[in-house]
Amino acid sequence: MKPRRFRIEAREAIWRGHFRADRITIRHETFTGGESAPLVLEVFDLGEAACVLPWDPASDRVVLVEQFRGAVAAFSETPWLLETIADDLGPGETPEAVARREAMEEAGLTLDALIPAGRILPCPGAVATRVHAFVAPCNLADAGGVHGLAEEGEDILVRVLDLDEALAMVDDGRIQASHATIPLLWLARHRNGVVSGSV
Amino acid sequence: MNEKKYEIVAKEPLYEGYFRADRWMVRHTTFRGGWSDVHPLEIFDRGHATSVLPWDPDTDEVVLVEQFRAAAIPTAKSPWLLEAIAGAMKPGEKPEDVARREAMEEAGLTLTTLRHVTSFLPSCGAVTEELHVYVAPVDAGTAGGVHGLQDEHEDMKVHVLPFAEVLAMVEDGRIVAGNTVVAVYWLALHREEMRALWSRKP
Repeated sequence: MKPRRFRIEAREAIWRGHFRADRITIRHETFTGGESAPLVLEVFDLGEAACVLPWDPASDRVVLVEQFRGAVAAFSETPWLLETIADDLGPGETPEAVARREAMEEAGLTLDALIPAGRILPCPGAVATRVHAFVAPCNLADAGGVHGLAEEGEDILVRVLDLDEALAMVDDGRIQASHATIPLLWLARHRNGVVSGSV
Repeated sequence: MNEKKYEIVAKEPLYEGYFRADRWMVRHTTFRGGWSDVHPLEIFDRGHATSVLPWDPDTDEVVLVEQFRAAAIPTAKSPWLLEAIAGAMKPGEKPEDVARREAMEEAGLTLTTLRHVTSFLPSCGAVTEELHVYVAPVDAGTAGGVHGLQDEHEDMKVHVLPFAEVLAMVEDGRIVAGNTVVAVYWLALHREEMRALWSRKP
């Protein structure tokens, strides 16, 4: 029988700031029958986010954005990452609305159709966050430049790349952000279907 | 373009438990020119991890493990997720060693060859983790049952599923874990090449 039930016996806030972290004590049904021992887990909550990969079917090019990411400075000499356009969902916001707003803010792009490319839990072992991924077919002839809200400290360089080049960068490690890797692999699999209208 | 530089001006611990979080004050050179203001970042450190997707090149089956994931409670329909085998890396461990150990612990599988797919950053805005993704050939007939270390309270059920069904589960949202989605999409693109390399048939 498939286990379905769990109960949170205790929840302790261990950090409340821009993000939040809780220590929870939880029991769940097990595959071997009965209930697990109480597990004490630390869960880091980043909320939900949306990301979008603009793609020009005519040129087979995509837009990624490059920006400084302090979290990567822990192990990288160059903590500037190539990522898809992305942001957290504010209260009541839809993933589609965030994708459109950020495409304008981070790359000056007005998006038409948004094709769902997955709803991903990037780090389900410890991080309670979900990312809604989209691919947006559009004309990228004029894309480029430095964008972002200077008053929010955003400093974002738009990069227009051949899809095949971006996929090679996933393979060799030059692209590492999960919200870039996953939509790029999705598009590698579906680009012909998107052109023919079957996706 | 000018050389990129950054500076961590200060670090302050926010909490230290099984994992840890810190507030870093950082500044960096900008694309517009000059330096950014010093700004705070909350950085969550849970170490690094390795994941491996076992795949049988002859039966075209994939081995996945199902387990309870508390961090999936807010967003998933059920917090029991189907995932590739994965485990945290201890300091000094090699990703390949972690893949082999976890394949034995979580699914009773002995791995020989490992193919590195990519190493990705699950949540690069706030989490320092790097996750190494591998695919490995196995005889799926040897996989099955309930595994996991009792003393680590692991409770895992091994599933052997046709690759086509696993791909359908990624595409319709029944599989959501990033490590698994990456490995399955990669294998969808490279299956013929890997089959030619790994098939046990003469």
